[in-house]
Amino acid sequence: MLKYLFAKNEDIPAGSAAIFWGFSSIVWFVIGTGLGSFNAAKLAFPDFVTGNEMFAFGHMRQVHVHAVIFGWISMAFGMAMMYITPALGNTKLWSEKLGIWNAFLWNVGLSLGLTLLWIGMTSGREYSDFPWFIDLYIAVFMAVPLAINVWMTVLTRRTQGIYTTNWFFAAGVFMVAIVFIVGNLPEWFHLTGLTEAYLTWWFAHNVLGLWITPVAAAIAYYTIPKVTGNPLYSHRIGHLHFWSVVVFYSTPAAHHLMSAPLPEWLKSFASVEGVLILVPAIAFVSNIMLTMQGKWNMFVENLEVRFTITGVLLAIPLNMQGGFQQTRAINWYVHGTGWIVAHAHLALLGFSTFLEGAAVYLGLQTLMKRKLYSLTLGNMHFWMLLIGFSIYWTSMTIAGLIQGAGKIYEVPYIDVVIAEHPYMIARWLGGTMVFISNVIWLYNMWMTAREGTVVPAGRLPHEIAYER
Amino acid sequence: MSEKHDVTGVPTTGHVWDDSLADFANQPPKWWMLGLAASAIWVVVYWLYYPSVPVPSSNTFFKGIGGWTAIKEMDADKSEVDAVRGKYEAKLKNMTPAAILADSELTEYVKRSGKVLFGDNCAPCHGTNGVGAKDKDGLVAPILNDDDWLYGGQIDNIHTTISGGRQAVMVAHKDSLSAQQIDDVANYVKAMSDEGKDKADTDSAVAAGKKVFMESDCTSCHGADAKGMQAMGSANLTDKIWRFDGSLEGIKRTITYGVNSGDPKARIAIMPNFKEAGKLSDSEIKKLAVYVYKFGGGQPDLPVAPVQATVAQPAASAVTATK
Repeated sequence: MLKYLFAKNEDIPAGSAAIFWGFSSIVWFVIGTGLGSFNAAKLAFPDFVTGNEMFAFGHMRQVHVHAVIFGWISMAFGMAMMYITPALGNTKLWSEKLGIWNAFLWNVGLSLGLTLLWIGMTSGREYSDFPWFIDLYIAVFMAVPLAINVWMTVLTRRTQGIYTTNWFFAAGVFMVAIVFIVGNLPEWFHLTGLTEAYLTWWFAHNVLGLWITPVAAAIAYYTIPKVTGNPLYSHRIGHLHFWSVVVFYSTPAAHHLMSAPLPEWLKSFASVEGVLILVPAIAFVSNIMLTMQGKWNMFVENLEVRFTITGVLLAIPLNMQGGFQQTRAINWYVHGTGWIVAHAHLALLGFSTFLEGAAVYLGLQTLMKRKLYSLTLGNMHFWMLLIGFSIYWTSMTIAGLIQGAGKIYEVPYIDVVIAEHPYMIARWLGGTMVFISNVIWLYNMWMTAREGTVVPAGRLPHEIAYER
Repeated sequence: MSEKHDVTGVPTTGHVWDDSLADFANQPPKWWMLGLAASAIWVVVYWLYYPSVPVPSSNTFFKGIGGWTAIKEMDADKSEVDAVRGKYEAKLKNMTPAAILADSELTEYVKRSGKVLFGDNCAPCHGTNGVGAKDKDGLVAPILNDDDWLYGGQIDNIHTTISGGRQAVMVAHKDSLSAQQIDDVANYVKAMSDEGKDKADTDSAVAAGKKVFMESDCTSCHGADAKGMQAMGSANLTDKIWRFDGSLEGIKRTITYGVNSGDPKARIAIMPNFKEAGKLSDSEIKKLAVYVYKFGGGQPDLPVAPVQATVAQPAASAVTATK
């Protein structure tokens, strides 16, 4: 891919940028989940790798979180945008060269940022831990070029309207830039106290609410109609989904700070917005489910549909938890416990990862015009990912309930630590399973690029999945 | 614009994207719209009940018709707890730890709240329920559920230890004794523990060590009988209970580098001052003293009444268990 960095734009084969983004995302997924498995081992076995601060949990956790959010999830989004946006506009990507430079700069900047976090250079604010110059780099060299490429591709489309997926993509790249710039104000202007806390969580929540959640959902709007051949059930519900996310989910940040001395009216406001996430969530899930009418066999037979529908189904528990766990009545019990850790992984490792997985599987096969090297390995990846995630989520939810009970009923902290130890070991097993499944995926995709059966012109990879 | 879809008969929006992708012009299902309306009603009710809408010009906000505030809720929860605990806490305030011990109802109460205090403040070093916790250097802090005490096991001794902290010093002997002398005395100390002092004294194999023990500075803290002195927290060397590693190598290390001696390899044994740190209130320290006493190893105040002596007896069996 690097040879295209200085090639003329018209000499670069269509889809090169998307392939670069796609493979980068898988590599980051392997790294990110590997770090996750390492961190889980530290929590399960306290004497695992001690004596070096670089491998201390505090350092490694930040590297894990940012490798997954900015490496895996965001680069998979970049891949989906480079591939789906032009396809839905019956056009080519506005600039393949910009796309390739963007992916290159993304990888460089992220590697640099993660190294700094690893050696301990951090802003110390959860989810926006990068130091200010890395934040600036992310805004200028990572977020803005992606936004320009997506917007210009939408503007130069050769269709009359804009399809649902592209509303979300175009809005997502616009919103994440704002979220990034506003959310890092405390970093740039040394804001302190409650202002800092509020803006930090405004950033942390809106990265999920205005970037990861809508863009991941947008992938399902493409893959399901495209692969099943069914038209999307309702254009109108898509509208409702889009506008209710943008309007209702703009400022739920204070629900992360329900125990902080923020104004109570702000907490009420945020809490209501948190519950209202159910409106877009139900719109989205029902729209996709109704689109599947008559094609449910593909949920079993087709890998991409299975990934997509699993992600969409996981949106149900995700939003049920997310909607209610932040209300005053429930938050006092689960706040600051493993329950929240389980919920965060339900969002990122459950819901969004399965949707991104669908986009990367479908996109890489279509753009490389090669059939998946091994469907068996693909199925193995799916099941290990799902089972590993389920073990993780279940064990951390139970551990969270134990911690919540310990917190409320004045159980000595050390007793809680002992009680949750088995669940910490289960979490490590689940996390390691996810890591291994991703190594399998990377191998499978690499072999697809090298040895996958060439897909004949005019056919789609999933149509010939079972042909030998 | 719109055209009928060939299978379902429902009109699509008329657009076709990416060669084959279309979308229907379906309206949202009725149940969905009802749900949307219901959630809108819920939002209004929630906002009316709780403090919700800011009024920027007057720098205030709508307080909600429920009159709810976080402080009120916390006070209500707290008074519920205080109603149960208040009468005991009021009594505790002006009682000595010994007086609490004499009151069986109060002791029962103190044991229960002591469990939480102990778990949060003491268990990291002393282990849950005082069974001891170990790291790579051995025991982090003394085992508390036996009847061997460095600073005394009477209720007032325990109370003093918790409120003031403890920090004994054993000097390093790496300069004052030769390597051979340290070897000898370590062998003697180990023999006293393994065989008992009487047998070790007559054992010719460790006679050299005994000579070092009696002639160097050992006796000034551990006493000529090697039984230690509780006033300064020096250990009893004649029993089988070891504060630090009781192997020959471990004993040599303790003698060579000392305890809290300032030497980088010294053993560290510091009990923090919980009162000065502001970590625990007077009542809480009293509770902990009673709680620790009640692990079973607490020793009755002198003079010993015959009945009380037998009470302490069962704890002695715990000693062998902690070897």
